[in-house]
Amino acid sequence: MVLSGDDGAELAPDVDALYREHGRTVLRWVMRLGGPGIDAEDAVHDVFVVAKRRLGAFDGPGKVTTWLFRTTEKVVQAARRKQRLRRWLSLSGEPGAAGISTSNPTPGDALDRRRDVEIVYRILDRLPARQRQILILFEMEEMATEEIGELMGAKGSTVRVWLFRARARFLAEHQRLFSGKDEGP
Amino acid sequence: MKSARADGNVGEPERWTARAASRGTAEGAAGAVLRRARDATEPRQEDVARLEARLAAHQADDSSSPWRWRLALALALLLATGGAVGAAGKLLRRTRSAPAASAVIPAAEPRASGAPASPLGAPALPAESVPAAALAAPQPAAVVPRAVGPREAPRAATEARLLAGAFRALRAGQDPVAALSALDRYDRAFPRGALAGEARIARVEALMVLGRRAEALALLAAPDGGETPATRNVLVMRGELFAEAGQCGSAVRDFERILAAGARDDAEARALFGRAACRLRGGDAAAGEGDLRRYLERHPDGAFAAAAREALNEALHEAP
Repeated sequence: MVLSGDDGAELAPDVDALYREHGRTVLRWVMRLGGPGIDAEDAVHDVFVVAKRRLGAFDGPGKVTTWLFRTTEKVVQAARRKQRLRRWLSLSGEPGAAGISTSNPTPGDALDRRRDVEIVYRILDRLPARQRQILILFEMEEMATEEIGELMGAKGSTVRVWLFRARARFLAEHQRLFSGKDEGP
Repeated sequence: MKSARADGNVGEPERWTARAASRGTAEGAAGAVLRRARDATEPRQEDVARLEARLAAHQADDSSSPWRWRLALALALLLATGGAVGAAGKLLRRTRSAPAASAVIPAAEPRASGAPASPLGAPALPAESVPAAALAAPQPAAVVPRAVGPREAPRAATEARLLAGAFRALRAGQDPVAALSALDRYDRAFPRGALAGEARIARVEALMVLGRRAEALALLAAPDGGETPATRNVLVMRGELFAEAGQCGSAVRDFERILAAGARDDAEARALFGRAACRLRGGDAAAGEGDLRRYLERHPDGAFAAAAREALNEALHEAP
């Protein structure tokens, strides 16, 4: 990938290439890390806005996917903060706007899928940020613990310890939710 | 990213999502729900296509549009109004705690003959709708302050500060007149400001607090109104104002946009009730009553539930 200077017009083709190669992946990261409450399109847009501005600063030797992931992570964190603020102000998060595809075979399937996603994120949102992220990357993104370690700047063995704790917490919250003892966050 | 399924790392835990749900274990159940969530959050082709179209459009007007520092301004605005957020939260809590009936606006039009009474008046505008709409307006993006160039920064800061003053007057000071003055200053200084949409929503909020609803509707309905953040709350509020002004065609269009999303929330409840009012007002009793029943099914304890039941009872007694 040829990197240009600070001029936006010169950078644009490289961002195009970046998008062509990684756009779908970034969209998936956003949808999964963000959950159903955030506007996935907005967030991906923001990721590439940042990418466009900062592409010149990317000089390796890290992978471009790692760099993109970290940008995505920051954008999603900001979107989730905004979502929490809005929820606190009872503005709701424009439900149904993002995170769940609308192309479903039947209305019943769509409801089931929405419910499953809501259940998972209701639980995930109670986990500490790192545990939440690791579970999503391992179980939903199907990444290896070593790969997750690369993204998070940790050893694979450390990630496995974090994953163990994250799973225990997820399981406890899952059981609490379905035992009728759930009293909300 | 490669999948860990195939790499055979020693010590790599088995994924719950790869387990058969039939094992009947807690991990299996958790894995099943995670698996379904994973599948539901896999982007479809149309998601990608929609995003590509948006990025392409963005690329096309990139050189002339002030969008880059607009985002930075939005962030600056949010930071500047941060102190007002707590006050807004208190205000919202206070308005929500008021009895629902007190939020219902008296009927703006004479009752049409033979139609139920309550929904024929102006659809209620819960007091929180306006602050909610306005608060939803700023849409800051992350990490964007870098996008502000050195010459743009002072202008951005001034614009954000002016608008922040309006929001502070409105929320913390609860002084809509002062807010309107601040917005006038903003408009004079930045007639084509990057935050014009947010300023418009702030003005709508101030006008609503002052009871100047016709002016608020005029702002929201202006065809040359430029960019107004079209959140669900703004849209449903505009529909309610249209209905109140007797413009039921426009009102129903707004309500149906809300209802088309299929969400179940406050905006959807208001849209359903508002559409019922418009349909009854237009003489379509069957459709209006259908909306009222649907409202009661979906929101049996909603703000308009008592009015909906009363209207249905009246319709029942008036039926031949």
